Amino acid sequence: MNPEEWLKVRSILESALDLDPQSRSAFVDSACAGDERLHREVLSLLNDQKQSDHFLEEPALEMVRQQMARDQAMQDKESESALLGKEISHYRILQKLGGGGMGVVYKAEDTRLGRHVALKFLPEQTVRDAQALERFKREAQAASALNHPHICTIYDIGEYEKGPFIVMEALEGSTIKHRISGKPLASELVVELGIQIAEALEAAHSRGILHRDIKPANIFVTERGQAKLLDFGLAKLAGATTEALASQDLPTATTNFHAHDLTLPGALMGTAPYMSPEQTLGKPLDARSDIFSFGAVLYEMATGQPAFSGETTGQIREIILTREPVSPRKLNPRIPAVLERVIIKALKKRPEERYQRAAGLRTDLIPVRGEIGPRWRPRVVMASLALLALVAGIGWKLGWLQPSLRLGQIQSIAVLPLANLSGDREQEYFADGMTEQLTTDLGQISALRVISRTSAMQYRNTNKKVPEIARELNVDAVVEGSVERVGNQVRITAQLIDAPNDRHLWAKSYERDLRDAFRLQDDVAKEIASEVKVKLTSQEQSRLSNARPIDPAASEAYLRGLHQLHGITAEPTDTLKSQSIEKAIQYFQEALSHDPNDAQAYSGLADAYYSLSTFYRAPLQVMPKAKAAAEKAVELDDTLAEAHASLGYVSIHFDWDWARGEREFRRALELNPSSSRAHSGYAQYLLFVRGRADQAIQELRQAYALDPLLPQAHGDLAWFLFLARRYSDSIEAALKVGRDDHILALSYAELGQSDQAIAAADRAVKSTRNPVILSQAAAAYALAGRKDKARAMISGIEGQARERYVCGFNVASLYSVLGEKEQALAWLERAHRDRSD
Amino acid sequence: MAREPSSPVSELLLHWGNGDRKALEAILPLVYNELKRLARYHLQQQRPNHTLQTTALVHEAYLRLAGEKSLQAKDRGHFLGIAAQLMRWILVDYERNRRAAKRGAGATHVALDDGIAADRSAGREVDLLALDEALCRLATLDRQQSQIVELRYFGGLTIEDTSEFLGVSPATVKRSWSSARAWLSRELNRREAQA
Repeated sequence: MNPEEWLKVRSILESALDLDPQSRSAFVDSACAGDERLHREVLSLLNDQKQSDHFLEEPALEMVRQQMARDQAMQDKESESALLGKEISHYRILQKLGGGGMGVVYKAEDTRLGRHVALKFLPEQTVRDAQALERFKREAQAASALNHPHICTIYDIGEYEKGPFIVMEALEGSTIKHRISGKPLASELVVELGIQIAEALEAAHSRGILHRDIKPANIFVTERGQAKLLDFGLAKLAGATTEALASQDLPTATTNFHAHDLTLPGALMGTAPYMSPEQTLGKPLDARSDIFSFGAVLYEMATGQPAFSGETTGQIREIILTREPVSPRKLNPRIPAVLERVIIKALKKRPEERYQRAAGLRTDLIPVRGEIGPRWRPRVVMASLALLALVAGIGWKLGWLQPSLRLGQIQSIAVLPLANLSGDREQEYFADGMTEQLTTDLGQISALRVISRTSAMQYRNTNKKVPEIARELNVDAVVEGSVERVGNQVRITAQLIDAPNDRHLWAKSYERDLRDAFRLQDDVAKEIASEVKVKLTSQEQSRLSNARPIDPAASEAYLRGLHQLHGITAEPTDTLKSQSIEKAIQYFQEALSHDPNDAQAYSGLADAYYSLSTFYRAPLQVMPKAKAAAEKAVELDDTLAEAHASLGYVSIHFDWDWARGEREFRRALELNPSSSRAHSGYAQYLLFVRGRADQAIQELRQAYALDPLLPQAHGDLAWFLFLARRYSDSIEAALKVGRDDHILALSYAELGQSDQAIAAADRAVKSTRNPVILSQAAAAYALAGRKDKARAMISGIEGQARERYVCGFNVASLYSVLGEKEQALAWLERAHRDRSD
Repeated sequence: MAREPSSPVSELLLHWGNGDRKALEAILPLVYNELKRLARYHLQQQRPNHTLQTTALVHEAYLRLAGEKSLQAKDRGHFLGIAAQLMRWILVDYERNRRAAKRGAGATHVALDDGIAADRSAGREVDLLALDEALCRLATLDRQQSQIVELRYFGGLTIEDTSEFLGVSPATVKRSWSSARAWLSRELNRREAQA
């Protein structure tokens, strides 16, 4: 065919193609009339056209791309089957986990250490020359130094015939990219993962390591919900070329297809939608560039859509440089406003306007935890209520609805042991002390019932979930957090959790000088109070603001003392218990040597002496010291509830000054309505002094509710009931406790159920050498008609009394039950001399 | 991309537009490299269901080479013309290398070509080497038609862009394009039948 012939053919062909397919052949017949060759030519072209309707419609490049993807898949499959089961270095390849731009990942077994690892084979062309390989090794080394729970750990690097590989921590789960796949993640998840990633970034940045390629595909979420940042430093490997690409410095012209620059764009554009503006411009990068990329990831997590998208990398780059992304809440109205602000700030075009450090972003995210929760839906409810009210002309008087709608009702709280993040077991007491302080501070708020520390402390290192703990402690909300002490700085993170729903209501991180640590807890307490919408009285308000600076050494010793004192119930024998108390006394004295005006230390000292007196030492020996300490404590700080409680105990048990005892307990309860110690002291006053058994029992039950796990620390309800002559109730209570056999024995004996009384007394005798319990068990034998057994025990008890203090009242009652009045009187005399209680 | 308004490339394009053939010689390797790099990159993106916008890619290459501020219509036109031609070279070269590699690889050859044959009968797969040759023959019959195919198929230009570039009406481009496709399709089918 020549051009002239073709011209003829194509003009008929084109006219035919303009027509309906049905009328084409008639048209061609008439147009080519007489020219057989032309007719054949046109018809054959029309036929071909029909067969390949979409011929060339898809641009060549796209076709090649698909071809290439297929080739690649084929090749991958081949190298995969070649690799599986193979041993490279000392890693046995088990299974392919996935592949991406930065290489293919396999699960492997480290045959030396016998653990599972992930092996990442870098694309062959990535590390081609020795220099690049060297750079890669240096980066991997730096990244492997990052030991952080939210950074995927690099164990090793190696080389094999087709290039280098990285040995990493094996993870189970999926990447954020998979988790998002077009849908927003729950805000709770965005915040929790965001905080973890920010921590990882901060750790890396503080060591001078940038990630440079933060994107959803590089963040892994394990099955346990832990974020793990992947591929640290890998971007740098290709990143050095980034600058070259964007600068004037274009590679030398060459027509060689295998020129060195083939992988260049991957470095710059592999993750275009997550690049910072400065990165797209090839400028030097710092931590703030990672923060921008992280912001883009947060955006996508929260909205389900990329912050920046476009047809080409050029367009994306343009958009990153010039356009603000659609505000996240327009795309997903459920995003809390605070979270939106965090995202927007991270995505500022100018690095100076962004978060300067990942830690700052983290700090801002933490309170969002509290933002998320039941208040979101209620807020919508509130809005419609407001509208309704206006329409109905009722006006806006529904404000009272707000608190209950927002949070349900939080009336009771437990402060779980704050975790000691110092990594130093020696600091445990400090975390405990901070817990104690926060508990005390919250307890001062009359609208809240705050579980006592002794019960809450049982949950140290627990695996139980918040709702379960809250059920056991019978509280609406739980405070948990951590304490980290570095030198003279203290950082406390606290969060308030709505217990039944396990939802974060509020969280905040504080950092202070150690001297202000206690004041810090006051702030935490106040914020929690405002969060749960309880009203602070002005007195409470000022008490919380009143904390004075403390002496670090004094507080340290005080907290150690407290630790000892609260630990005594756990000690198995009397000897160990009394040793523990003696140790506590030493610590309190040490605290006072550092700060002679520490009211808390005096109060602790008073309580410690009092504890000695009940079972181990004659009151006359120790109670004067308790009294002096308690009085000093009150004198130093009249607003300290513990001090007044200490003084109350001294007054009723030693001074027998009933009026003062009552006054002190009442004052203590006024200052801290959640003080279980004050409640149980007042209960003792009511029972022993006033004989008001019912009121006393009610008071004791309050102490129990505040300290549900360690009721015995506050005196025995069963014993109270027994003294109140409510024998069947005391039996019930004693059976519940399970170790009050002496009370059971006495109660059964009083009820005339001798067999049971004797059996219980047998058990009590077998279980202890404590002279008080033995005296009571013996009295039970006597009451149940086994005076022989009771008498047989007297010598043992009196023998003990020669070596240690034994409360004379108990022995006196035993003798009186046995009808031996003289002996009884002698012991009463002795009890009076000892000032036994 | 803060670059001088008159980058070497836009300057060269200008000279070439004014009839300086040497300018084209200087430009070609630059554009070639850039396009190849971009093509290579985009080819490596394994995103299914995402059609590659060749025009956008070419524009991107242009922006990267010429700088953003010198987007003059004339420059751009020249550039698109060169880019389409270069893309043709790049992709044809690529295909040639690919086949060479395949022959070396041996076993996969058959399986892979079976796949291609199946795709081709479905109208999706085009034998680029055969097309390149057929396009050369088409140029001897009608130079403009061959150019239209180059611009549309390799350069990814729309009917409108093509018409603007060639200075002919869109209707003419459309008709030429469809008859050229018919001719090329027959050429390729014939070749296959002979093979």
